[in-house]
Amino acid sequence: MTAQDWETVVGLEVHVELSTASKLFCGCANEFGGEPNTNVCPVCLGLPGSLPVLNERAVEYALRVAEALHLEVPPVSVFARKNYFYPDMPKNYQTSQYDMPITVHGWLDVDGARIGITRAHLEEDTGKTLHVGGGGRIHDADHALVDYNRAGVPLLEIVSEPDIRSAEQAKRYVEELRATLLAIQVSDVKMEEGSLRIDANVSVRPAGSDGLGTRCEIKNLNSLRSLVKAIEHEARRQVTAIEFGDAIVQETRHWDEQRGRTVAGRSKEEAHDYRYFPEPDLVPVAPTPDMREHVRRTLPELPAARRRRLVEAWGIRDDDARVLVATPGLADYAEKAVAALAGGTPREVVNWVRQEVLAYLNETGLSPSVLAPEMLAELVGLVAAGTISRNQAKDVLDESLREERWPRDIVEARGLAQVSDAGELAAVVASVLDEHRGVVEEYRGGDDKARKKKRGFLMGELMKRLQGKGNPQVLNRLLDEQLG
Amino acid sequence: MKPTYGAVSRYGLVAFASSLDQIGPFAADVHDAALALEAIRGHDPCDSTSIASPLPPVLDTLDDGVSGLRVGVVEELTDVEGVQPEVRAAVDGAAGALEDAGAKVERVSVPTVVHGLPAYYLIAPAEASSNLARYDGVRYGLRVDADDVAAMNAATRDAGFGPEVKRRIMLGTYALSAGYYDAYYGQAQRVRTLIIRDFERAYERFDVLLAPTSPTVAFPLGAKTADPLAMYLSDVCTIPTNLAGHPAISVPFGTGEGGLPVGVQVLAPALGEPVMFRAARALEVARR
Repeated sequence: MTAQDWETVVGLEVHVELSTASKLFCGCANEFGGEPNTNVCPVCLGLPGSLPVLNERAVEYALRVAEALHLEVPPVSVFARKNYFYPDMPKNYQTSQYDMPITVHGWLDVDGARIGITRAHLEEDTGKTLHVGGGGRIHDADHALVDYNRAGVPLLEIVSEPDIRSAEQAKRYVEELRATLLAIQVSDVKMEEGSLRIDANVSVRPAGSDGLGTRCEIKNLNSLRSLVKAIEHEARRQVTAIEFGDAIVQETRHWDEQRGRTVAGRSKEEAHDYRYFPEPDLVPVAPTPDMREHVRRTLPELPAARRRRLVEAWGIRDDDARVLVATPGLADYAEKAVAALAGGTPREVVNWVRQEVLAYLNETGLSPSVLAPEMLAELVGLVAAGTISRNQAKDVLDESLREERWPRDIVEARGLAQVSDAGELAAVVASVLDEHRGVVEEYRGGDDKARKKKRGFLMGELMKRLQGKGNPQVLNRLLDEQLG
Repeated sequence: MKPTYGAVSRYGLVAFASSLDQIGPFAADVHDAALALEAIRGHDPCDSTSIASPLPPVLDTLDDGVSGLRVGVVEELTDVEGVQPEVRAAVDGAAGALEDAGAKVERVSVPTVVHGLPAYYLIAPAEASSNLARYDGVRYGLRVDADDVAAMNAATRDAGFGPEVKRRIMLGTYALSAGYYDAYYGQAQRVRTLIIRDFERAYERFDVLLAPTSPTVAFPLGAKTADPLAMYLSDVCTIPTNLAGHPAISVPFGTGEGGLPVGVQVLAPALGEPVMFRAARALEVARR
């Protein structure tokens, strides 16, 4: 058999940190960073005698996700304890949900393919362990430090069906999921800060078969790049093993970024029996019809719908719309700029946003929400009116973004405004042609090549006279007229 | 006395078995117990299992007597082998005293209470095994150092917990294990539901129930520590109502062999503390 005869089957578990103001079971702020062990209290430290109280806002966020991902909400869901020992888990059990999750059976459309979602359940995050010494390798570390600031942060674990058929589709699924979660404002979905973490279940099967192969779970993929590479590598590894006659062992594997391969976990240490049982310190969760109605009423436009709307209203490409909607705050920025347009088209706005504005944001790490969309609208207007050329506009926009200045002010201060007045320019053209009569004669008598050369010379002279501020389009038209 | 589950906040109480833990006062007499209960109970937003509705007053009706009160003596906890004759005599004496004070007393069968003890000794250790997991030497308390964190956890817990605690942790861990959950913990929870239903059925006919507090006369301190099963059996009478989350109060009612005290208990439905205290008070008065 050859590699084409195999199909990759992927299911993803996406852990999303919800951006509620406080943690899942206590009043501590839900914040990233901070001095270790400063954002903690008796509850999230699991001190004896402390008890959890469910954050209702986290339930509301889960219900929002349910709306957006077409998930059913059973009348009652139950928290459960997942028991295992790990130093960054204060109680040595994680309060999670098991056989009665808050939402079940939904889907997300990704480029026309419908990816089933098995469930999404609420759980608390753990703290973080920092291994010290030994060059950063866990097994060689001298000791470990634990930071409990993250302990108790609300997580929603979104589990997909094994409906994904390639690494690329897995990436697209996560991108679409991120855009959706961002749009409904339940998470900042920053993978680099751990707000969104992925486990991938990967198996392979002969193309065209319906059964599922034995799967391996690749843990803790923290970038889209690792996700794609890990799935590709793991599928190849499994195909190779099967073709050599080896059986795939169901196991947990880790992605080794440096070596570019997945490695088996230490199965003995990871063979957990979690001994789930219903959390007796919490009561079952029964979302009220009012709560669900409120969520339905206040759910913002979802990414797919927004992309459709922008493509239709602005005449932009699907790809443009995808970039705008996928980048936090960028579509809002573009929409505000379009609303403020006094000249020019939405498409021009989008071109500037995709090029210069996005480059600036990537360079500075700023969010689009700190930029003034009205300034971009003014810039587009200046170009449309012919006041400045596109080339000049690049510099002006750069300064406008960096200095937070109005483009019109920059144009004035730099004396950039183009001379577009045909009457004024006609006089200058006449005067230059008069000065260079010889050249004009040669132009009129020359072949195409000579004409091009002479015309270039004359344009240069014109710009010299106009200190570069002549509108080239108007000058060209005037040259055509006067040279005959 | 043990209040209705959820009447007194568990916030600040070191957890043993969360679904059973409930704080109740020990007092010199029934009146003091009522006073203490009214002081410590009430809704606490920090305890999700705390009862939100107002709790019925107890002190106001403490001396209202038991005239017309319907009292059921639980057969399965009283008239069975293993209950010492002196203990049964104390329960009968208490029943007679309540009758003299105007109550109507009958025997009542609550069949599933006999399954209370095994159910309890699965549920309580299961929850305890989880609640006690936090004592691992990482954050606070005793730490016995070792080569790696798992060894440190094990050494610390080995040194810190006594034999009875270890026994219960192992029992509970086993009861929750994959493949055993349904047979043990799950089955115990189903028994718990049946016990609650049986009690509810009994409370359709009776205002309160009467039973021994323990099947034997008080035994000397330390007498049964070598025999855990015998120790567990001495809880047989108090466990059913505990599993149901209902209130109960034990009142000394005479003495047995060697002058050691015998207790009888009054059981009531959830939030039935007022009538339970009236009956307990009547027993106390009858003894004087």
